[in-house]
Amino acid sequence: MAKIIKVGSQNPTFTSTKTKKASSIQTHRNSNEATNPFKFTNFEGNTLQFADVFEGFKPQKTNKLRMIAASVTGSMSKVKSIIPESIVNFAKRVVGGISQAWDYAKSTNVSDAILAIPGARNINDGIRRNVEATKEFLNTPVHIPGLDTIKSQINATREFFNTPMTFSAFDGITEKINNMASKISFQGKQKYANMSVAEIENAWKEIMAAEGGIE
Amino acid sequence: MNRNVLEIIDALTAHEDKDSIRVLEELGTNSPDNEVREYTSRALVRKNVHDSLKIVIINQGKGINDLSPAVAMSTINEILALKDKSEVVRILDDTINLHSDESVKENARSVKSLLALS
Repeated sequence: MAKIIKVGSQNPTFTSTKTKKASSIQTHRNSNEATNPFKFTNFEGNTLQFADVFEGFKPQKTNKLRMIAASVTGSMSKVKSIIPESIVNFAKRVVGGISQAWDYAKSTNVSDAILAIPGARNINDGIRRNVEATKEFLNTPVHIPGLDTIKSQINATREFFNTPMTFSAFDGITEKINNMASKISFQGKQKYANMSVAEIENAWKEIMAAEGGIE
Repeated sequence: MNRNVLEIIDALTAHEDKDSIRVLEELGTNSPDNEVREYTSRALVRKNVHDSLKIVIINQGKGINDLSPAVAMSTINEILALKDKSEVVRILDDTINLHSDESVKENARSVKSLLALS
């Protein structure tokens, strides 16, 4: 970096040197005014007495990028000398390993790599068989036993609900229910229905005696 | 309640013999079991004759005058459910006008009020 600073124009040291050089040149030119080719030449009446003051002092155009690169290279050489050799070798090995892995990936087929996994070939065969079985199942016409009966029942149920309901369907149901209820009631009374009141009374007394109501 | 007793009461309710009312009164309304008294009182009301209705209306401790509120209320509900209430009203009027026991008369008056409202 020190070299860059020396070349740059912001260095006060360089500025003072430039001023010193200019002043020495100016002194020299003052002593030899006849060497100025524009001394007696006017540009519309204006005399350019010191037009050649800085002639011959052209700042050297230096390629800064080249200088920066040179300084960086120098710094890197210094850093390389500082870093232990083992780390450098390690980095070289890492880079080499990556390149080897990349070469392997480029040259290897993915399916082959998967099949190289233990058991992967068996899994692949199983999946293939399942896919083939599924294809065969989907291509086979479906036949469910009794499906036609179920369809007919569904259609009959649908027709039933679509048919307007009339109360004529309930004709006679109430009468049948009443008959059944009377039969049930008759069956309950049947045990004592054909008995006389005296027999029923005796039976009741026996029950009450059994329960401890009447001695 | 014994199921046989239940069937006996039903059989006596359906019986045409008037002696069935006596049996129901003697064995049913005097039973220590509240359920038997309740079922018997309802059976007597369902008969809907003068003798059976008289038992549950004018007798102290029976029918609407039973000490068990459940029995009394069940009897009153059965009276209110009758289709032909003419005999019941007649007995209630006689009870209100002629009975000696004030509590029986009061109960008869209440039942008649309920009949008028129903």
